[in-house]
Amino acid sequence: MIRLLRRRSVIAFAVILSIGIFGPMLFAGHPSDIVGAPFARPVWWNRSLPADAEIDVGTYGTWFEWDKLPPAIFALKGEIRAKGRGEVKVIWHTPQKDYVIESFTGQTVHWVNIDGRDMIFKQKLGLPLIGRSVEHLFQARGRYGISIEGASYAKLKLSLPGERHGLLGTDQRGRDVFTMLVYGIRTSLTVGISATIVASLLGLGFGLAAGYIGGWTDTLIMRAVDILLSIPTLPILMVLAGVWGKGLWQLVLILSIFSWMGTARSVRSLVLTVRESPWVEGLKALGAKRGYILWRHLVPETAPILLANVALGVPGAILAEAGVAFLGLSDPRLISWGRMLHEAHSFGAFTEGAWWLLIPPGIGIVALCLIFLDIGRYLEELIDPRLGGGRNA
Amino acid sequence: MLTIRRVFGLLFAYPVVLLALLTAPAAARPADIDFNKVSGPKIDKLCMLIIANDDAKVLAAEKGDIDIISDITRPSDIDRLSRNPKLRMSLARGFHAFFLLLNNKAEPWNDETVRQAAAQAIDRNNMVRTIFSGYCEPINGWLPPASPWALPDSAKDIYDRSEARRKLKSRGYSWNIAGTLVTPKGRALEKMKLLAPLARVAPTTAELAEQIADSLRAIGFPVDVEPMDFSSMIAKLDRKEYSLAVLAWSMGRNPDSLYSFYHSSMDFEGGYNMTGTSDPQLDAALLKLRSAGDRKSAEKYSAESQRILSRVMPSIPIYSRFSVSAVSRRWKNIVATDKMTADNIWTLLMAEPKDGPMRRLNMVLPEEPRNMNPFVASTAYSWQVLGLIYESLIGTNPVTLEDMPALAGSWSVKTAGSGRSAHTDLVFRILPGLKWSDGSRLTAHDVRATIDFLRSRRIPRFFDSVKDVSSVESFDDGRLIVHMRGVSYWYLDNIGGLPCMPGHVIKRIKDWQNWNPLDNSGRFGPAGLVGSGPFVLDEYRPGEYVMMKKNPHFRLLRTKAAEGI
Amino acid sequence: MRRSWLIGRVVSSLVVLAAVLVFNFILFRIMPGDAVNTIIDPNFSPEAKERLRELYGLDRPMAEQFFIYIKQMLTFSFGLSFMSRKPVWDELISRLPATVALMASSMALSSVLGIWLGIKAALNRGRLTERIVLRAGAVTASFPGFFVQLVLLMLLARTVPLFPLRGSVSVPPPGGAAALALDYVWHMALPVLSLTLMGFGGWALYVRNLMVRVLGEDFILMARARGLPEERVVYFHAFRTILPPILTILLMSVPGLVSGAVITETVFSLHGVGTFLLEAVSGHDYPAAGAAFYLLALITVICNFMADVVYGIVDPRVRIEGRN
Repeated sequence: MIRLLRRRSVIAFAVILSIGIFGPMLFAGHPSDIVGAPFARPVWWNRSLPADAEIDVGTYGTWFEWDKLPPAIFALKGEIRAKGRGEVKVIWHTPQKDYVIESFTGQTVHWVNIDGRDMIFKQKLGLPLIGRSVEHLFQARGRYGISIEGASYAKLKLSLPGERHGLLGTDQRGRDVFTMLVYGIRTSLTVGISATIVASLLGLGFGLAAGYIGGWTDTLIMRAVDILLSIPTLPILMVLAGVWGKGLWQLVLILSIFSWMGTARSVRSLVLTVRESPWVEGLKALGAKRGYILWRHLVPETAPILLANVALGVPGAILAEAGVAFLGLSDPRLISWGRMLHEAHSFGAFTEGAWWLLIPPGIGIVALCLIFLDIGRYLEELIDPRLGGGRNA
Repeated sequence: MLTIRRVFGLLFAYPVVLLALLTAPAAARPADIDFNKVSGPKIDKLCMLIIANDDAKVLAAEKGDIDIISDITRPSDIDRLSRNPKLRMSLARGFHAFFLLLNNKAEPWNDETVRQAAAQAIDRNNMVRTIFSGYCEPINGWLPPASPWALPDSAKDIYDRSEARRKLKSRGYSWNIAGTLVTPKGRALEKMKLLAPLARVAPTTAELAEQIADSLRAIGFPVDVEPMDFSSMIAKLDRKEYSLAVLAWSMGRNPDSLYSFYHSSMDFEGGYNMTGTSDPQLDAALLKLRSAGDRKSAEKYSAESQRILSRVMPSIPIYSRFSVSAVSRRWKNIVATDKMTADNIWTLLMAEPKDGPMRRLNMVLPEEPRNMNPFVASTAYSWQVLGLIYESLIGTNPVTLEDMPALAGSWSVKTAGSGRSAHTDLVFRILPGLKWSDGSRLTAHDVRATIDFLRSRRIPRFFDSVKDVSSVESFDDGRLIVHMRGVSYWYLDNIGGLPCMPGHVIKRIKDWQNWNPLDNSGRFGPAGLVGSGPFVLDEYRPGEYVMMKKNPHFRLLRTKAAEGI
Repeated sequence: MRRSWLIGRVVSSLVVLAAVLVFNFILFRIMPGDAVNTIIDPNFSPEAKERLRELYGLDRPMAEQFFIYIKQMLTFSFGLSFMSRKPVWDELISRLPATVALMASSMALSSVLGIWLGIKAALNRGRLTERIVLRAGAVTASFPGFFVQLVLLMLLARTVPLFPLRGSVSVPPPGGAAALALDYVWHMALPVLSLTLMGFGGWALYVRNLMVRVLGEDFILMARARGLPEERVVYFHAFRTILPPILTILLMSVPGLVSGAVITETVFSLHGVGTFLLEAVSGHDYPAAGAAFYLLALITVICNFMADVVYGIVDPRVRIEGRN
């Protein structure tokens, strides 16, 4: 047992599990919050690109130096109070040109909510309607500023989300990838482990019944196994997802219904072998009831197989969930690594070369699968030592 | 205490003129073209590559494998392609619209003022920015902004949260400690579900639904999003088992479709009145709109219906997506207007390479056309191909979206008879000297044969267009008279939009359901698609491409020949 | 004994097939909505939709629909697809080449590579070779298929444009049989490569385990003691012993190819049976989806049956007790 706990894979599993459980508590916001520009790179990648910047603008305006490439978004929000009834203008100064980005007359208090992505903004400034206005607003390195004319008081904030944000960048909407990655651990582990445990319990139950009771029960159960194996999983998942609705537990249920067959067969063949053995006959001769034999003797016999099957089945469940999510069939509100890959595939991560959207969730899935495969193989080798590869365990 | 008014900048409709700035000088200025004098097609071969994958489309465009991509949906792709010097971008208002449907029969949506309040509580601007990076417009009307029938202020942003609260207060609503609305009767509102189709059908819908739910929760409606399979959702909408739902669809240009959506008689299972709207004033206006006898009264009742809809607010219009297209700069004479994307028929007629010899023009089909049988083909993509092969009596002007001559040089809509026996008569004059792609003459008799065939076989796709035809007459001088049952101006577009087929081909169709025009054995009908359009089908390779070639007998090609060029 | 066992297997296969048929029918019909109700088009009035339903046969009573369905399945005349209005059989035939080419070649490559590596690993117990094979096997079994494919696409079709992004043929297709074949291979290279990479690991592990067990058997020891050359021992005696399980696994993995096909065809935009199935299911296209599920079930049942027969020939105990 201790040997098991010392294995690297088990330690890695423990680490991932704790991150999955406690990690979300460390994050202030929710993973679906928009925190930066779309497709922002990780902060440590390509430092020539600008990071996020936020500049406060007071009544007397503000000036600053800009020596990097243009930011991703230009947004100005806040409150302006007019001085009297004249016109109030907000002007954006660039080394080349000045732009009047907002003007109003006759209002005492005005709430500013300008964004460089708005069509109205681009029209007002005479910029092309297609393409990013920031590229015209930040044309070169130099001195930039905002000034406000005709205002008695102004409190504005200039947000310039950059092309770099966060540990692992952002997705197509501007959500932090690292946060989503950590939240995704829960989904993958929950679905993977629950589905496999339920499937194993089902398999144990059916395998015991088929092997020990035999006769019609056996035939019926084996027929059911054959039938379920003849139905292609993926299309069925599509159909069932439509009928039963979205949700984590529906997915777990559906996955387990289609994965208990292997365990059932192994358990059944084990029970068949053991059923005719002398010691079981001895138990029967002593007057042991069927239930007693099943529960106190046969189940413990199957325990090692079950354990190994669980460990080896978890990767299958995780991959199945990832596959279903990748095809877009899972609950969109559920953050999972498969879903992250789906969104990466559908929303243009590929075209943008946004490797930070593809690699981390993929590596995460691979890591979890490797961990469980390792644990499973170790357990398998314990059962059947001939399989040992001559390594030190 | 100052009343703070939040003005978020999107006050007025997008001026059409400014949008026209987009069409760069190298393209023909659409307003300058006389579409009646266009001659073409100039290209010999047109290839429509079937590429469903968005990434592959964009990369192919960047590589130069595709000359025209229309309807680029992802903002990151739009920005990326706009930086490419080899491509020219154009933007058109679309016929797409996204609505928030409300169950008018259930509380609290059975109160008109509450619906209006909800409409004003939704921050459309934020959705436009965060989800589409600005490439769509908030709408406040029930017809697409590109339609000439839409009211001018239908692209206004009506977001005003304080006004929404005021409206709710005026109906006796209040808020409890948790911020949830409390009905005038004193009960707090229960959780309401917002149905949304699954991401597979519409990728951004889930996020839009969440933002809408956020906006509504902010003024006290306890809304939760519930994504579900599209077909299950429609089933629920049919049975009115919902509170809110989001739905997007492509609308038509004409306002008579409003009748199907909002007239109380269409409120049955299977009918399109999924909101359960039942307003007597609206009913009256929609009925008058549907049975308007001429253009003037149609315009009058269309405007009236839309105004009443603004008051009744049975569903809440949210936004309409722009269609952005990218065209390779190696081609000239691309026609891109603010109402039609670059892949329209006029571009295909007039496009030629900027320099060098004539080349094949490459376009994209986002989905498999699947079936080339015009009676059975149902997807927009099959019709993108078939629409190049078949023409109808009336065409559409790409600049104004109004009717213009196609096979018919002129037409008239008259109301004949009076009282009970009043009915609309449509008279078309088919242009003289037209030919089918197999060289045979195109006459009014062919059009009559088409209409009679569609009627007698009760073909679903054309069912509604021809069901009110009582009889058709055709004459050798090119006149075609269609007698309808009942009076309606809209019959003009119903008949004027039918694809016209040759009588001698129709006669040889044995089984219209099983007919495969690409099947040379001729089991169920003749092989080949014979139309009067600018192109004919050369080769269809399923999954890969559709190859078209120039129709040598196309009527607009003759103009050039007639001019002796 | 042999005859009755065989008949028993046939009967149970038929029972399974029947159950699958009924299950498929019920599954689709219990989903709310049908192929017609999702049409939201004001130019398509409810009347027109009823007419469409009439043409699709959806307005007939459920019992009648069921009989039509059974008749269609048994006579292999699957009717017209709702979505394309073309015969389902023709659609399937047009999509079969791409899927079969893809799956057959990747299965062949991955099994051959896997078997060879598995044997090598079994012969080199404890050494580097075995460790590499074991690691590779574990790793490749852990990668989600579409992830590998996406990464390969990004690296080899975009970053370094060596391979095409999509499809199975260039436009226009090059003339000449040789050029056409080469073009086809070039397009199929990435999908086949990705599937082989993901598949060989499982084979290698399985064969290694089998070989290890067999090589530990007494008769191998006996063969070595008799002085037979090692090659003969391994390839003639040991390998032949494990051939039946390998065949069985080969047969059993055929039905699972479809799920792999669905994802691969989605990523590489191939016009195959996998995407056909996906579209049919999402579009409530009963004839198409029903036909596809039925054929799949048929293939699975046949493969199971053949696997049983193979095992039964080899191991007579199985005929009595049933295959594990």
